[in-house]
Amino acid sequence: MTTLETPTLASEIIGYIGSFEIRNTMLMAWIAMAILTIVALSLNATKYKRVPGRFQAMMEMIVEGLFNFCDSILQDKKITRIAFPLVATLFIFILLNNWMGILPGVGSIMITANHGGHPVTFPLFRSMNADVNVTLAFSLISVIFTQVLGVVTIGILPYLSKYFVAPWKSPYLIGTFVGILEFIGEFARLVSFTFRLFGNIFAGEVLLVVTFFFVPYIMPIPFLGMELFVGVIQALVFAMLTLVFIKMAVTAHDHAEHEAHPA
Amino acid sequence: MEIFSTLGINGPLLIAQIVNFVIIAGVLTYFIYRPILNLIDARRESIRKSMEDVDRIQKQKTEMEEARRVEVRKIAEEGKKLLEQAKGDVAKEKDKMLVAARKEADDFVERGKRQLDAERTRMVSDVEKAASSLVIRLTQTILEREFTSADQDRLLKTLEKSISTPAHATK
Repeated sequence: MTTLETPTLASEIIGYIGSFEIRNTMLMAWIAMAILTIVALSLNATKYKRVPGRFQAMMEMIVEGLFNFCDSILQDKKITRIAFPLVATLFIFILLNNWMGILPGVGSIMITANHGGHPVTFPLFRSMNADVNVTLAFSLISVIFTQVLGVVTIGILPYLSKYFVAPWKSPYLIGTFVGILEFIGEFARLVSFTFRLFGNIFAGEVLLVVTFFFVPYIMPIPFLGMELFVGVIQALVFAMLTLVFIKMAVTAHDHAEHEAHPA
Repeated sequence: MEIFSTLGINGPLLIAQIVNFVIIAGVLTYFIYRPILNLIDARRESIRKSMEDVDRIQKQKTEMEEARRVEVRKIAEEGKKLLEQAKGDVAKEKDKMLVAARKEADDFVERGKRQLDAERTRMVSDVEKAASSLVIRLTQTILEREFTSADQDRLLKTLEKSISTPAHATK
């Protein structure tokens, strides 16, 4: 009788380049990168005609849709132009990897490797976002980019004044306390970003494995559909939260207060 | 650090994933985002220019239509004026022609009258002449039967004299 083998929290090592560990999630990241690079080069090969073909038109529609989405949140074309490549790449990369995670073969093609003298069986391909390293990398990029953009846009002192409020200035101790909370919130944001995406994708992976184990036919189909949906939602949430945090970062504290209390 | 190990958090792997993301973001930015956004901007600019041209042409059209309307109104007014003038001229000409025609008709009637008078006078004269010659011949005939040749001559001369004097002259 086969046993139920749920995915482990950590990704598995499938090989080494020198001393560098190649993990199954890294392999998926490279495949996703290869796909995106091929798409980019194919699109570039069309020479971007003024009257687009189907492929170019579809890509234009996607890029313009994402740009308008970013601009609708940031409401500043200049900032949108700067933030767009990061947010769009986050969305596309996360979405592609989430969807690749439910392809046949991902999680089901198993290999056996010797780990510490013991033969261990694990999947050759594993969804990239089911690896904390990846989601943490995305979170770090998102948070650092947000902070840098905030500092560049409104200046270092106005930016720091969001977190460090002197207790003798209005609104006095409350302002100081809120500033500290905001500062801690920046780190909490990093953690929440990381574990929201990781948790959702890892949970989906576990759910699919369990469903396939108990009822291999028909039953997993609704869950595959749900995973497709979750993949979009998670990519969208990550991108949208990044945009919202960028918007908050590039808005000066005084300006935000003035908007909150216009009278 | 136990939690890091359990979750598989690994420094080099984390950096590798960051590098992966930066690379793919660079590739997508260079080959997709920038060219498409530039293309969209150029297209938007071209549409904006076209819209401006449309507005300008629309404005020109409106102006031209207004100018045409003014011109048409002016031409209509001039035409009306010319028509009025022509009507006046025609009426004057008509009056002139009527006067001339009436004069001509009067002249014609007058001439006819004169001709008729002359004709009548001539006919009266002819009739008188014929009557006198008839009277003379008649008288001669009678005289030949009743009087001598000397009486005849005398009577004839008297008669001739009386006849030669026109009737209307004797009146």
